Amino acid sequence: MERQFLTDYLHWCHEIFRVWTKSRPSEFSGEKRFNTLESNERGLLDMSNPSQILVGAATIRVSNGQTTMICPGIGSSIGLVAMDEVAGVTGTVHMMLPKVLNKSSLDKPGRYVSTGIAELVRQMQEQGALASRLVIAYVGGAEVFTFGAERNQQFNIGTRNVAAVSDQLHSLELRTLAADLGGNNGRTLIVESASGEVRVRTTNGGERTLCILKRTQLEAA
Amino acid sequence: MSHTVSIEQIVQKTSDLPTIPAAAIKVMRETQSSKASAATVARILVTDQALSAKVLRLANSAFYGLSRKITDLGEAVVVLGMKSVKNLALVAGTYPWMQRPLTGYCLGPEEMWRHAFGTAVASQLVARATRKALEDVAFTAGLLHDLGKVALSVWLENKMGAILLYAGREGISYDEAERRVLGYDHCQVGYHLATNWNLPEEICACNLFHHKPSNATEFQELVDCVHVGDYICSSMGYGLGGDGLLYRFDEESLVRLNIKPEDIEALTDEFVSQYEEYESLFKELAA
Ligand SMILES: [Fe+2]
Ligand SMILES: [Fe+2]
Repeated sequence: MERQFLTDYLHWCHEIFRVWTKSRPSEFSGEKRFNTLESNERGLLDMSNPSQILVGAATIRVSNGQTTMICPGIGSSIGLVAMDEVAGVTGTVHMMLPKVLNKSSLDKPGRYVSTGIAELVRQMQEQGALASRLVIAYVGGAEVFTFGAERNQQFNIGTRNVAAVSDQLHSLELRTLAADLGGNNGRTLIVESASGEVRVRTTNGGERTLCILKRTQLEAA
Repeated sequence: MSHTVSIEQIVQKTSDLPTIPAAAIKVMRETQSSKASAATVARILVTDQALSAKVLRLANSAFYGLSRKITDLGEAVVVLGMKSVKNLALVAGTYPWMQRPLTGYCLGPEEMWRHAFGTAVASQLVARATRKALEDVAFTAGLLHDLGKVALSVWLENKMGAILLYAGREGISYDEAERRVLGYDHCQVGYHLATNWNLPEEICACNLFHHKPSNATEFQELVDCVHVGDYICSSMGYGLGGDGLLYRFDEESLVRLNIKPEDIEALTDEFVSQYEEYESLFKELAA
């Protein structure tokens, strides 16, 4: 009896899913991607394309050219992008943990929120960006499934990362345009420096535009 | 629908199901016996040329920084230690199929590998920090904890979206959704596969209980190490599939392992450092 119900339910879900994904081509950019359900963050990467920049775990990448920055594998960690439209400088950092715990890791500023954002800003300033002109978007801070009262914030790395980011942004007086945080999904952050478009793709195959970091583009739209 | 396929059918009828080289399994068994020595392990290795070559390459790699060249297998086992040799044998033996994409779990190329290897490194770290399980056994158990995904992926193709929707609607974990929709989860399938392959009992137990460590009847502390290792690796985003972090974390594991919640951050930090160090080494050798 329950089996039959589940069979029907599954079938129904599948139908809805199919219809839904078909009716939203912009979100899923074609059914090919969704039908094979490849999260395939790495598949996004085309290494022969020099305008693509991979932002790996715990790294900082800054560019003043026209690039697509792709930051895959964001779980409880944070992918953060900053843009100075006037100077034409874009930078992305993939931070894993809230703060430096061990002196031997001081040479890895990108790994921690406590050092990563400041270092990103510094590197962008070297290329002519101004902190006061930076516009920020960030994603991540996912967590394992927890049941209501059991939540123990102390081991909850995602929640702690998110709190650390908002502290840092506040103390560095940086302007945030949009964020996509929490939940149980892995994410990939995609930044088009030319248009200022920031997209977030989840590991279950969905993709959406989070925001446009460039004001001129926004006004044109 | 797929739930009409039984676990037995999945394990028996999937023609391209992966296998672990016999020599690697023999080395694993041998290192766990009390009579094992560098000589007995070397004798097994000789039967597998590809494996022998990798062991020698590792012994001579810059990682170990030896001044002389090692050409004798027995000597290589002495230098590396039996347990490292065992881990290398398993990594080398599983890499060829673990690096393949698992579309049934939305895992692109290399993603399953990153998750398995990352969980191995993290589980080993937890075992070392807590001394509740043997480090090398925790590594092996972590490496092989999600065997069921490899087998199930073939049958799940295109069905993950539905299971995810169901999990989201009911507010349940992904393994629970698998059980309700398919009748079993990747843990049970992995257990079946592991017993079919005659893997050591503790590896089978880790497959079965890694998402429900409190239910483990045997090897519970090892299962706890893998459970926490799986969490650490997944939260750092290494090889996240469509199921993402949609799993329940059992805080009882932390209690049993005597890990304070605030220690998780330091463990995770250490994990990231270790993973970076090991990955390039093992990948180069396993390829
Ligand atoms: Fe699992
Ligand atoms: Fe896992």
